[in-house]
Amino acid sequence: METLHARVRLQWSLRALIFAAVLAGIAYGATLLLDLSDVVPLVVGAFTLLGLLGVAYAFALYRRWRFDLEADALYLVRGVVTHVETAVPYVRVQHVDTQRTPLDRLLGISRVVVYTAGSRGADVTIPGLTVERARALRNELRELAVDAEPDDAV
Amino acid sequence: MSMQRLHPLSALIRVLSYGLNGFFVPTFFAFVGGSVFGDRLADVGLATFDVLRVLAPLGLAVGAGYGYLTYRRFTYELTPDTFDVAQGVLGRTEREIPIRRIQNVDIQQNVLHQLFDVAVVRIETAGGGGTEATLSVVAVDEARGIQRGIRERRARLRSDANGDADAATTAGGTTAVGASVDDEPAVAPDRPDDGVAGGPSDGADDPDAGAADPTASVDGTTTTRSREDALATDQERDDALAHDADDWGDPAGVWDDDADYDHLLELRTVDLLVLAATNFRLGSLLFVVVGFPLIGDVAADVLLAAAEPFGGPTSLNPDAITPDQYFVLGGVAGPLVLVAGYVLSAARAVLEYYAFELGRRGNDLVYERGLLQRYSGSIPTDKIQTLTVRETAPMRWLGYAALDVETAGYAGGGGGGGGTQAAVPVAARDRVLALADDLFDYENPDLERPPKRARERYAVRYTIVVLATLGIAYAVAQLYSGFTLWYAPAVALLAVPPAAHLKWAHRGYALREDHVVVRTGFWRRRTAVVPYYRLQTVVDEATVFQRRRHLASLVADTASSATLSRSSPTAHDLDADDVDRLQRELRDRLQAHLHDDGADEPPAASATSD
Repeated sequence: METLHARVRLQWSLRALIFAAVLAGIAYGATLLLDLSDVVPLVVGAFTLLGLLGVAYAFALYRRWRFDLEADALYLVRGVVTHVETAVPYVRVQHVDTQRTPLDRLLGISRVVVYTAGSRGADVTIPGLTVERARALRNELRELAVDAEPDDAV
Repeated sequence: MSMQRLHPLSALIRVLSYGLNGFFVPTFFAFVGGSVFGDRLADVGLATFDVLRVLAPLGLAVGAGYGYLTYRRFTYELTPDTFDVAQGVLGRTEREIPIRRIQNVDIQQNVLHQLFDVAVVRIETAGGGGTEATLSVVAVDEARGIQRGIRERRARLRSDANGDADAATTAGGTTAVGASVDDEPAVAPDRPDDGVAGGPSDGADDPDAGAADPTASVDGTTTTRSREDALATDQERDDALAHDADDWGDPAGVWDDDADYDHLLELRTVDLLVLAATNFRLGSLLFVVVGFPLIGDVAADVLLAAAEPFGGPTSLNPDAITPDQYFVLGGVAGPLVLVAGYVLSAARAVLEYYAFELGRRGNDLVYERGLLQRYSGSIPTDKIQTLTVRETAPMRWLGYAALDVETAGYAGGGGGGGGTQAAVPVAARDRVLALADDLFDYENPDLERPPKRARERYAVRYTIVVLATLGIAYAVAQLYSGFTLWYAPAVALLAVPPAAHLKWAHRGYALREDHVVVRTGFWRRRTAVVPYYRLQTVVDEATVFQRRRHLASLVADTASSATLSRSSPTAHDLDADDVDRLQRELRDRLQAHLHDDGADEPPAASATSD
């Protein structure tokens, strides 16, 4: 099975740290407003911990993420707290996108989004791919989706 | 069939509503603006009222005119292949909905509509998030005619598709070859082509359809010809009734309304009462909470009277009530709210399902219901994604059940969220199972239960909830000295073992020949029947707690749009190895059933190689 590009760990860690920083900022603002200056070290400690947990989560998630193009379906293995293994049959693929968020572009990675007609698994995203791999994967999926019966998307 | 306009009453409604809007909007702004800019205006020599005297009638006239134009510029037409709608005053939208893509056709009448014999027609497809076409309003007969016309056309298109397959297999290769010189083969892919699997699932009706696929490219020409013939005949029929046929779409009376209609069931008074008594809707609680201030005094008296035997206060004076008495009030208010909610649910059930009747016309399930608001809808059986047998605990004890169907369409007023329709709101259990069997070959199977250790999970879960409640109550007791009853919730611990067992006992799954069955729920037990060829993604998921016990859940996703109100059919807490195996199994069966005509046709062989 294929793994994601290692740089996606950086992306996820950055996201976690930014999130922790924003929350810390809000909490700090609250302490200023409520005049709780002795709680500040506690706030700082708490959000540092949160940030570190986020980074640890990013690394654990990367270790877990796998995907594979099997004979009949795209198979994904992901999730840290909840292990999720998803099979997306090629006959059910409506269309495939490659997407790059601003952070993706900064880090030079891309993601592939597979759309189905399903309700719960409607968009399935494979993050952390190099631009070429993302493009190649999208084309591969498109070929496989077309080879499968075209009249069975629902 | 030529372009039709909406009912003239629609013009009246639009003129009035847009006119009134046009009148009130400037009035509102004039008053707001007048208070803000009054001084400036006075400088220029205008008074608010003068401005109003000009703007308001102008607004009324413009609004009324615009309203009338929306009526004039709205036309619709039912062609042999599509339903066309053209609308728009400033911007223009023309929409062609292929008949074969249409999921549901719903007709709705509120009290005023019933008074004037008009109705609102809603046509839905699987694409988009809302109704594709809304005709507001047309005459009731016209509405039924449209519903019937769509149904007949869909049946004809389907039988043409199957008929061509027959012709292809019986006519033999020579005819096709001889004809291929002149005709365009480009139409061939169109025959089974249907983005919403209308074609393949019909293979069940005609076993030759699957076998005909390899020959389709050769016989595409035969397809073209028969389709053109069919179109021509339909055009004749349509022309014949162009002007004032009574039976819209059926001048020769070929489609006899009575003969066509297969009555399936209707709700008798007893059934309606059972429905009212056994279907509690959480949404009604919201009504109770909202309506409480309206009947404040009566409610307060009732609450005090009910709380008294348990040691409640004698009046609702905040100073005179001890914390313990608050607790009693809270404990009594809960059930009272539930009872009130229950009564409201029952009333709503009666209003919605009064005179419910379910029947079958051709391939569609058609239903009618409602007391104040009249609903009438058609559900094409070949668009059904999932079937759910729904039984609340009280319904089970009385031997009743309900049947819900989910299509990929977006059904706004269909009596359920998203694409869920209650095909049978309530009926005797065997009646419901018989209908499910009729639709999906469903026999009430023996389900495989989750392993016994799943019960431990539920027991732990409920215990934690009770302990958390106790913890909160204890914390509150520390804060408020008068509150000594914090240990009262502990009595709920007695209920935990039976609750855990019951939750486990009503969960299960079964893999049948054509479909997978998944059941869950005690208070609202839902048994979902998902045909293999409707499966979308299949997910194997396991939370940390599940992994500890080597358990996992299997989720079978479908294209039904009933997602917000309901999650996809899930087999909860099965053995992790079983889920692994089942995920593989479901994928294989999906591939095998893609054409729904048996597992003998491997997908590769039937692929048209154009």
